[in-house]
Amino acid sequence: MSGLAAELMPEFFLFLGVDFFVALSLLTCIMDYFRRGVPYLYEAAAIFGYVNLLMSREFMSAWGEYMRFAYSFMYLALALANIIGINAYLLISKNLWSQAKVFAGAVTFPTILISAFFFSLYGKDTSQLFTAALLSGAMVLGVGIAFLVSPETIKKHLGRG
Amino acid sequence: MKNRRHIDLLVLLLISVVVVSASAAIYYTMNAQSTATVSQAAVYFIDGGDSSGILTLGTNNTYARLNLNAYPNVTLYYDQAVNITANAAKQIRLNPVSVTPNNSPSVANFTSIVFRLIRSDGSEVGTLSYTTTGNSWTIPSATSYVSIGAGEKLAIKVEIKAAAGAKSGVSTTMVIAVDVR
Repeated sequence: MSGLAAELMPEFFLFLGVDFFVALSLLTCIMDYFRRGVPYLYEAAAIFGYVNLLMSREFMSAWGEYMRFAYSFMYLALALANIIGINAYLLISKNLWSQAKVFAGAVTFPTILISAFFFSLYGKDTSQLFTAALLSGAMVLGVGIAFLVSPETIKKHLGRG
Repeated sequence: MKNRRHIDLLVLLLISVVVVSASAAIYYTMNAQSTATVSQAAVYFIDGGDSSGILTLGTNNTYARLNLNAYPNVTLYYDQAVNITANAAKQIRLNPVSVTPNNSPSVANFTSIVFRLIRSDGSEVGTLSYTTTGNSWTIPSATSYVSIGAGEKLAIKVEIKAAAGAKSGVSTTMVIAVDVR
């Protein structure tokens, strides 16, 4: 287990984030609940991750491992926040309970589990990494939900609408 | 409308394949390339209490040369011939590398040379005991690895004894490595 952990580079989280954005792009394309531009937006986010990976390789020696981990993990957290955001959008804005449950079981939960698994393999200074993960996760989750859920929907679900 | 969705899916699928493949290739090349970064040695030598006049430290303190005296039928102690310190928690051991001359009549002029690894509280954590049998040195095996904390100092104590009636001017050279892990 420790051998595998030693081989894992911080950019692995970038790679994982790219995969998640690509999956989101295809999923939002085949689902009928999103505007035409949404899948392309996620594809652009995946390309941004690829460019990030490219930059990371070029400046590998100049940037410390902690910084590389920080931006790689932030990108992964952004991808996860969008997955959770899509799930919340289906559940709250569209009232699609069954679809939201299927999405949670088939996409949201596995992606979180996969990320947690690789994070546990990579984790060296546990307290530091967990702090970074919690902060970035909470922040990105908040931003993602704020973008996807309209104030009217929140008011309606809080019983003020 | 349906056709437009199919075209979108096809376009996105093609872009996805390219992006994921390219990302995987870049990650692979990053993993395959090795980098060597020069940094300060984690474990290095420093002066001990008895180092004055006997110790020569090499560049970056990663090498130490001791010029020790030996007296016939007298055991001479250097309590802190040289100290070892670390800037990060590590494990170290003393590992004999070579003794010259060996299997030579000059060896009989010595009785023993003992190197002890001593913590600051006085506890001994490793010993290399070189003894002579006739014209040969009995070379000890490496000590066990012992922990050294960041900033901690371990002293190398040397006990050296020449044989009764030893000739003056006879010398021996011992090379000992400090293995770090």
